[in-house]
Amino acid sequence: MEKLDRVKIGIIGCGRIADLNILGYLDHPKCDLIAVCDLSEDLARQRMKEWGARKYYTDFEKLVSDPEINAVEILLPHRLHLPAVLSAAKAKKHISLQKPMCVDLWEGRKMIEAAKEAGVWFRVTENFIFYPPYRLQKQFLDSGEIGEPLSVNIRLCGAAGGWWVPLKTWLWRLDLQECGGTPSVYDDGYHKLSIAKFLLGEIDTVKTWIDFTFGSVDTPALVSWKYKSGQVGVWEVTTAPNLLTNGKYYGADEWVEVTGTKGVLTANRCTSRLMEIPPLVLYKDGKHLAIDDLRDDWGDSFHDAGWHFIDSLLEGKQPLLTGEDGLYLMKFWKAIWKSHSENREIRMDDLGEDDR
Amino acid sequence: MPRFLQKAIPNLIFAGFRWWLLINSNRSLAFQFKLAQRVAFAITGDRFLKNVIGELAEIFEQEGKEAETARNLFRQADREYSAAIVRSFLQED
Repeated sequence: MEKLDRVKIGIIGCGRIADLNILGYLDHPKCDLIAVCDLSEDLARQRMKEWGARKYYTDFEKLVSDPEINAVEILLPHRLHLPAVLSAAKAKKHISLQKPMCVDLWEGRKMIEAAKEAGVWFRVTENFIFYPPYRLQKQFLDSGEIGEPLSVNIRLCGAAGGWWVPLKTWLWRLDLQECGGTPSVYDDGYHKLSIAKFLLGEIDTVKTWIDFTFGSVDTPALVSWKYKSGQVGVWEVTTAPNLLTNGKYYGADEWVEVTGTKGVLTANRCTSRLMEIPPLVLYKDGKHLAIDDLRDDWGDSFHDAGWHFIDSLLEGKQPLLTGEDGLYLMKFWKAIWKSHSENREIRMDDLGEDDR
Repeated sequence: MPRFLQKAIPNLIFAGFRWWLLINSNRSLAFQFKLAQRVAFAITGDRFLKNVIGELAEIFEQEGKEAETARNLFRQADREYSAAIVRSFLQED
């Protein structure tokens, strides 16, 4: 595919997460924000003024038909991902789609096919792999700082605090069909599954236990897995509504620890700033190295994800995550849910491709 | 105030609120939330509070899946959890 001289972006969906996704598009020297789109005309108009876009739409079909635009960032509820991606592909716009990719594997495959047929770049936006402490953690891991990796331990705690999110936005996430999965392990969990794969590669088997609070919030939960390369991983999911986080964004925080034969790497935050300790700590040879001099605001990961998309289009390269990566994470979720539903270990390779 | 009353009163208020929410129809709740929105704004002048109550009114007025999900949540939530979540929702940016 040809390289672009400039990226002329249209933003589809102006809700809460757009506050972060927009960051990279606003300050890249070779990106112009052409238009925004939201079902709410008031919100679309407000965002147009706030971000300095040239125009606004209330119908994404009209935005993707705008000849000035050559790429779109789709920030819609999950049920609308497929129609928006198909329209954008048909209109020959390069596509960045906010995670999670789709509500089932069939939709994901349709998206990938449509983008290939149209000859446009398609990526699933997943910001955790652009979070600077995680990127440095991965670099240390790959360079052998902690020896051979043995395990990954991820913890997520949903807590109090954070910015205002409209009530309706929370409620549809509690509906399995509307969301495509459960709110913590699937919707927010997509990031953690992505990090799990980012750090140590493909998954062999999965074993899960999920309990529910209020009948619809999937915590507490414990997801465990074995990598194809032999290491193990575990992800603990909890909700503590009386635990106050110091964060600008959602009331939640994560810890990611990788243990190796010679040391341990711990990333101590991501979404929030639950504790004021260094964002990354390397322990090896009996010594701690606390890495403080690192961009560690969650917003930085969105900014960098946006720049990565723009730079990829300018260089004519595939941006991350690919559609296939996005689909793989959907399969990881399917394995988790199947393990929970059937109360047994699930092998990823045994999962069927069709789920309609 | 005696300690037992300090514990009992919030539990009673919560139980009363939950009973009120579950026995009213969606339309009735929407109407009452809109009324509460006007009263709350007239007394406090707080736009954020006005928007939050307005959202609740809209959810029940539309009578869709979100209204059903909200009802399920209220049916199952206990007082402490609900109070923490309400505090979280009412925290402005």
